[in-house]
Amino acid sequence: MGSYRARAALRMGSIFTVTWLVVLIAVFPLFWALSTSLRDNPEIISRTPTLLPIDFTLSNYDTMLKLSNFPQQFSNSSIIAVGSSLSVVLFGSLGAYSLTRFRFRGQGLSLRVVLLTYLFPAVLLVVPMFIILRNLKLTDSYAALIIVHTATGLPLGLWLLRAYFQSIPIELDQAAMIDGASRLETLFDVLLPQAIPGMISIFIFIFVFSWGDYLWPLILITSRSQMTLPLGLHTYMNDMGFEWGPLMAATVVFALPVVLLFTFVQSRLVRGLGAGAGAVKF
Amino acid sequence: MAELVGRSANVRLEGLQKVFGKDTLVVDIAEMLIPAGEFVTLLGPSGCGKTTTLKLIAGLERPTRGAIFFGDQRVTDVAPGSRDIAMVFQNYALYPHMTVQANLEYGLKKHHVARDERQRRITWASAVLQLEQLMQRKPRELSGGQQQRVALGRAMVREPKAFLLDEPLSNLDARLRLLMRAELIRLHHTIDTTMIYVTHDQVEAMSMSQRIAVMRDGRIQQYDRPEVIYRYPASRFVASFIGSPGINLYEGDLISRDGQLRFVRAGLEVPLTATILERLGEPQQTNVTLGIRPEDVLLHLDGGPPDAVVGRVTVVESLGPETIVTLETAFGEVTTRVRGMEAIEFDAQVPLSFDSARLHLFDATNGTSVLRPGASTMGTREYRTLAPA
Amino acid sequence: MAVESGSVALRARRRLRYMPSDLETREKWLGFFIFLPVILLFSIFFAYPLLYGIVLSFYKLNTLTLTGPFIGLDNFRTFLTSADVRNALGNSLYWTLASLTLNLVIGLLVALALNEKFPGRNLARGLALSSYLIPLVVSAAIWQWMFNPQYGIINYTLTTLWGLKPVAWLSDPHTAMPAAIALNVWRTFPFVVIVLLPRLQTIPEELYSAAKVDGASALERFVDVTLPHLRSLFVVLILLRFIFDFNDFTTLALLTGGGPVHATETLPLLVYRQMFGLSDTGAAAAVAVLMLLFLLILSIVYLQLANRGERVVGE
Repeated sequence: MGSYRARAALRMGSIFTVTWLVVLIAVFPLFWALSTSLRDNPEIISRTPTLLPIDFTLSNYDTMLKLSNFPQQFSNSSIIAVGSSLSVVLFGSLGAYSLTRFRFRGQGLSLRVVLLTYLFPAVLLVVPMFIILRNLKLTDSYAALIIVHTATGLPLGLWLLRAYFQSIPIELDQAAMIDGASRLETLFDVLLPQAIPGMISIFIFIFVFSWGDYLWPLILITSRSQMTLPLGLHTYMNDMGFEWGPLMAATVVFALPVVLLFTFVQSRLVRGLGAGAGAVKF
Repeated sequence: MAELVGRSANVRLEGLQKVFGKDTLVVDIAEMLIPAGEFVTLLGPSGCGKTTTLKLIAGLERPTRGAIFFGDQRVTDVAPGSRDIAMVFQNYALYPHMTVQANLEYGLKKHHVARDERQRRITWASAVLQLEQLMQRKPRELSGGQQQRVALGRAMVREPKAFLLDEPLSNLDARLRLLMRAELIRLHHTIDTTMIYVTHDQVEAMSMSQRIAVMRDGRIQQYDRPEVIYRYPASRFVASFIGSPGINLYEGDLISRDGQLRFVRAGLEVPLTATILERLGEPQQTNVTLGIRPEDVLLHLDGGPPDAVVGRVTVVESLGPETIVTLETAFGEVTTRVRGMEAIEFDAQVPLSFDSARLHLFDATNGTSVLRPGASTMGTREYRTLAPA
Repeated sequence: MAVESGSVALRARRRLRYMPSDLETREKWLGFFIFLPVILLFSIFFAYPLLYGIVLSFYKLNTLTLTGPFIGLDNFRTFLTSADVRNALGNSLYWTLASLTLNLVIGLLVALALNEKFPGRNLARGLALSSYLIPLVVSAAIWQWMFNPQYGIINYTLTTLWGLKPVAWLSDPHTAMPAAIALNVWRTFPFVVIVLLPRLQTIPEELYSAAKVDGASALERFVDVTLPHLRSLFVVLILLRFIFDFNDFTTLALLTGGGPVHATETLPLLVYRQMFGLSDTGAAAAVAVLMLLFLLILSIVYLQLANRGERVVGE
């Protein structure tokens, strides 16, 4: 009996340790960035750095706000991220509705082809997209980024929402039809309200993706005023006279919305992806 | 309540056929009339096409061939929402994100019913079904029986021409099912609207319907009042589907001996009485199946006529009001029912005989009855609206 | 009262919706119509660029002017002998396979740990998986700072706590890739956890109890009860992670830019350099096409093997 309890305690202990070790490693970089951002330069380049700053200072945040267009980029990134997320939710819902509640030729094919797009190296699409958007005079604009981010996120959105819709019994559609609802009314009055968890999950995924995307702004954006945060941040890093302090401040502020979103809907995230992954069958 | 009389429509199916896939004929009904205001059940085993037929009537499926009429109006091409029907689903299909109140209102809103009228109907239906306390709850906060009543209420407020019910009681536990059966009968009595009911449970069908359509493989084998179906089944299939415990069946031949037509099988010989012969006419062939219901098999526990067949008791099921006894005989197994709780011993040898007026005879190859239906044993079960007290 | 019912009936009749003779067609049309935006977006964003990209690979185009002669398969012929391509391919495989292996191992261990109940589990879950959601630019910047040879916290820990020599992580060709892989694994292991954890939680406790009663050790319980439940997920994970890592451009672009001396230049980075550094759009497209072909063939072969494996084992 004693050895059994000892073993159980050892097991629980090691799990506890491993977990919090992992947590530590996962969380440390952002913590370190925060810590760095709150100290001034002499401390930053000191040969004996401490975990927490000795002299707290907000001067880095001040510098960052004044330099390099940070507020403008923050706003650009926000608009694009929200725009793309909403678009994916909208078109994903429509597409998922069409794939699950209707029967037309090429449905299975469409779905598989759509998922196949994730095989593509983004770099393959970059040049042609650049040329297309340039011809449409859309480069260097919100529209360009929203379009490419929506297109990138749509396969995932379709996949997840399709799984959600499939779990809603068809009898609800039938009841609505007998109650006199049209097909679109059925979608909006009956199906979508029940797919809200899925829609929220997708919104968050796409938001996070769009918020942090670097490649497309790199290719499509040239003017400083249209830059998004990822591009702006990296550009700043290549600027002359850049300092780690303000950079770390910028990264903290940049990461903040995502961190907040995440803590806000943490459990939903695991559930949402779990539903999709569990349903994957090749 | 009485206003609903007259809004009901009769439903007529003509040459109705539905094909799934390339060539699977799931519904094949040449002609069926459901009179206005009647409670009609489509009864049959799984896969017989009864639910598909209901869906065709609802407009949720389109027929491959044929037409559907509500009264004089051809509705085959009309969308389900415009047919003025209401449906109760097996799993209720209540809108999960809406309250009971909203669930009841939805159909009325979609049909542009004025707010006062909506309220009147909802108040009336929730009173009849005792839903008043539940109006603000969501379906997941309700018990199975409560959800069922909400589903009924949703149908009732529509004041439709016909109610379509798809096995609404099968998700309820046994006790609740009995209660709801009585509720439904009372409801039909009250609102006097055409009800088309689908089930595989013959007890439900027998107890609630004014007419039953027994279906098999997409076709209607018999469409008549419950008593007629029970007493004069049109086929072996109908005879064995209705009635529990099931009918006893034995294959044999019709042979004329000593000037009398008899049913003969190894170990059994049954002379046919005049009542039976009257209904027989000219049999096409002599190879027949004899059917006799358990209640028409008489056990002579206190000794019987010397020439009676003797059976050995193999199973005794004491149910309380009656006892089901199974015996092994020279001609096969026989199941019979005896009133009360008789003390019957296993392996006892008991003489038995058949009630000669209650025989059923079916063609051994195609199962159809070779006997014409006789006079009905009971009066028609007509519903009359009771005068208010 | 009777009048009101009648007028309701009248209203219903006026709004009668008739379906055209063939319901299926009408529904089909509506379903297709709703799906149209998806098809449109997809064609513009994938189908057309894919074809266009393939076409481009047959030209020698100058990136700035986008003009140039048709050279057929020359781009591809050059690649067979190009040192750049061989280097990039080698780096890609190093990067992808190392990340994949580490991710699977670490991801599995963390998923197993998070599957247990202990105080503060929910909080631990949230925090342990947070590295995936931090924008890559942020993570790359922070890690660059941590890897800084003079002031970075990593070298500080190495020198003061363990008396080792400082390492020039990102400027030493030998350590650059491992450093980058460390960042990648740190960032992407939550993906593995998020996929495995829900499935782990559905494994009935009774199976473990039965195994314990049968005398199975902890390792045996893991192999015989846990792993079979995860098998199908692993198949998917390996494929997805391989594809994502193989195609990944941003991580290395931000951390090392492909350096030092192309030590961390994977195929996507080579594409970028071809296009903007060497101004040869045709060559860039050709490399991208090669990547796609590689992945396509790999995926097909992989899935065949995976499915056949399942049948043989009789699962």
